[in-house]
Amino acid sequence: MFSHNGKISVSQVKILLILQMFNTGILLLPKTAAHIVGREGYVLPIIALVFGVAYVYGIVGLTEHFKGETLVEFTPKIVPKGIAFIIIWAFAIKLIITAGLELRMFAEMISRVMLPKTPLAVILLSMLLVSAYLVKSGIEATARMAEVLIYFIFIPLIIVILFIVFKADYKQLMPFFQVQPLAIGKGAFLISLSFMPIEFMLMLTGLMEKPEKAKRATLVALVIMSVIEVIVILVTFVGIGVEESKRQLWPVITLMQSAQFLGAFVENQEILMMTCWVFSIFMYVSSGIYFVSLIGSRVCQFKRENVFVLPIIPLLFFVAMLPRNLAQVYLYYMNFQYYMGVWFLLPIPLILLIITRIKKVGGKYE
Amino acid sequence: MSKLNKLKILPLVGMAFLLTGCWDNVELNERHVILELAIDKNLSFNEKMPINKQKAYKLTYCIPDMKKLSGQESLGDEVKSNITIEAASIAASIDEIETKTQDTVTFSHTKALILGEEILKDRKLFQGTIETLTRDMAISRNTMILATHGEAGELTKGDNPQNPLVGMYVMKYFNNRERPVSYAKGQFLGSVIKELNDTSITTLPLIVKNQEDTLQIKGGALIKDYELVGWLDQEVMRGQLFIEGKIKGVPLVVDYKGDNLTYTIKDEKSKISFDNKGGEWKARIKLTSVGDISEYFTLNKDAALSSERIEEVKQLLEREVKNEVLKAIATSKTLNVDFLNIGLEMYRKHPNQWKEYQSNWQTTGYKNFPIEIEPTIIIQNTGAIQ
Repeated sequence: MFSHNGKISVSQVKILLILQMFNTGILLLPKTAAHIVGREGYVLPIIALVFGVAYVYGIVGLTEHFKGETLVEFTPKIVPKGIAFIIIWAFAIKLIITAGLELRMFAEMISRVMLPKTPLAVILLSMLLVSAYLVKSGIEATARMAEVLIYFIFIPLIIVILFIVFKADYKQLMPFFQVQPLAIGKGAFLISLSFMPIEFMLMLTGLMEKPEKAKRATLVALVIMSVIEVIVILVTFVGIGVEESKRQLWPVITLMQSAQFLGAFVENQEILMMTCWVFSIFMYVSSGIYFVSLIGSRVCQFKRENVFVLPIIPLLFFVAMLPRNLAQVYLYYMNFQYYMGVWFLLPIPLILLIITRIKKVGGKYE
Repeated sequence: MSKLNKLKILPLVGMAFLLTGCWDNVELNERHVILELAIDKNLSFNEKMPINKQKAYKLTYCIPDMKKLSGQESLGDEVKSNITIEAASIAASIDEIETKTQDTVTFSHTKALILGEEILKDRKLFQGTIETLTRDMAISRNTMILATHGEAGELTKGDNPQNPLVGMYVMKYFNNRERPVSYAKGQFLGSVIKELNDTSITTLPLIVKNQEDTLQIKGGALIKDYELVGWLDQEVMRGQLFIEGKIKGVPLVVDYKGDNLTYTIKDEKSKISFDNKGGEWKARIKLTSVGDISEYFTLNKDAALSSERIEEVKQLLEREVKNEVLKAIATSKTLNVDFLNIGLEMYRKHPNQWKEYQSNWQTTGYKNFPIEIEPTIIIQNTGAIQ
């Protein structure tokens, strides 16, 4: 751990990435997996790892040429300034839209399960303002918060899962090996989009104390996340059934609701999952705000990183409030992830990496 | 402390007052906790009305007086009050019940859903009920679901000497892990949905009032495609439980050389396999029961249990288990409803073979499918040594 130098450690990067990937997507994952390949959906995260590794090599392969620099600094060195400007702002806009939709999904879920009478705007603003407060103190504070929250997220989750696995109907997974390879390929690609927060590494590597370990840290986070995803899909399938996983909007919450605790005096246990997940969304939204603010500050060459934190809040709030209802936000969320999710994961970093190598720019060649 | 610091503390103190509770909270003692909900089809609704005005549902909400239940003084006379609502939908009935209760109604601790006979016979209403109950997360998927003859509302309104609240009775009944599992298969709302998704077939435990006017849970309602096919008696349910490997604490009484011998099954396991000998596929159900001889008395000294005689007893008990399971198989074949999940097992274990049977399983396939029972009895304790 480092004190107030604006740098974060390798383990903090791993934790941050894990928490960022444990977002709304995780609650929808069993539904997506069941829809694409049915009862064998649990294999998708493992195959998605292949895509994930490609994303890591594309992104970290690019950033390791420019130690201590973020997307804002190294893009103008690779492509003409005009194009670099478009890429940087496209990334910022993408982060705003993703975080906004994520926020709205979060608010819809909270409204449905925990606070049915509270206006969505109140839930959204509460989360946004708390996130802004955290982000105001910089990346170190966010990383340290992640180090604390990871225990609050995963320990209750492990306890709940343990209660489920002993009573689950494992025959739900049979028959095995009935799925078409093409469906597995398509499904693995879709599931790999749940690794989207890896794109934060375009900014985060430049803030690492040891950027040479960025690839290893990202790969470790990726493998851990894949294992978590496999467990979540498996447990959901054996807990509520494959067909019900397809039908339910939030199958993981339905699963938590179905869990039986000994003695049956504990009820409404889905709140446990919600609590873990709120922390995780908090980390995702905080990171979204932080990186957009960082892009703004670095583009404008401001010394302070948090100048843009408060101006971003209304933008995120606007994006979150834009969809008219849950059906629309779900459609926007899935479509945005499907059509826009991959751009900063592979094509753009890969093109920039190829140009970097052709032009021989960056630390490796200087 | 400087003036500025004091000013900083003021908003913090203010927040401590503001953030300590919800602005629209309802205290627990100001809520009506619905412990059981009886859902019936309203047989007297007017079919000539527009469909959104047809009050097809008849719901009976049982509102317990929590103060009376916990032995405190209460203004109410009865430990529970039942309110029956006729409504076009379940959600509309909730809206209406709020006009008839002093406190807010909550389903967060509902223990039992009891469905009447007529609603089980109406596919659309029954499917709509299940859909509504799971649509919003108001009612937990861990809520027990049961069926009853006639009107469910009448059952919940009646007195029950052991526990006036049917919901509590049901919860205690199924939570009791020491109770033998023998006559009814406990079902949660979630497990019923899972079974209906898997095979379109499920069984609901049957709750009835017996001649002594006490509640009894035994037997079941057989549901196929969200419609009641028929009622299953306790022996058939026991056969189903044997095949599912869920039998526990069940006494088997056989006639051994003119005297009653009781063997209590402590635990039971079941394994369904399929083989193809001689070009014909058949199901083989292996049932392994572990238990003790819990009661046997004879005046005939020649009939005292020796190791040879224990072998005879084992064979006798195996025949008894086989007969009980065959009864369930015969009933399922007569009704032509595979509630024993033989087809599902075949699909799971031999998916390619299942393709041959899938198309005609529900017409002639299951009816003509050979099923063999292979019971094994393990006697751990004879109760006496000779």
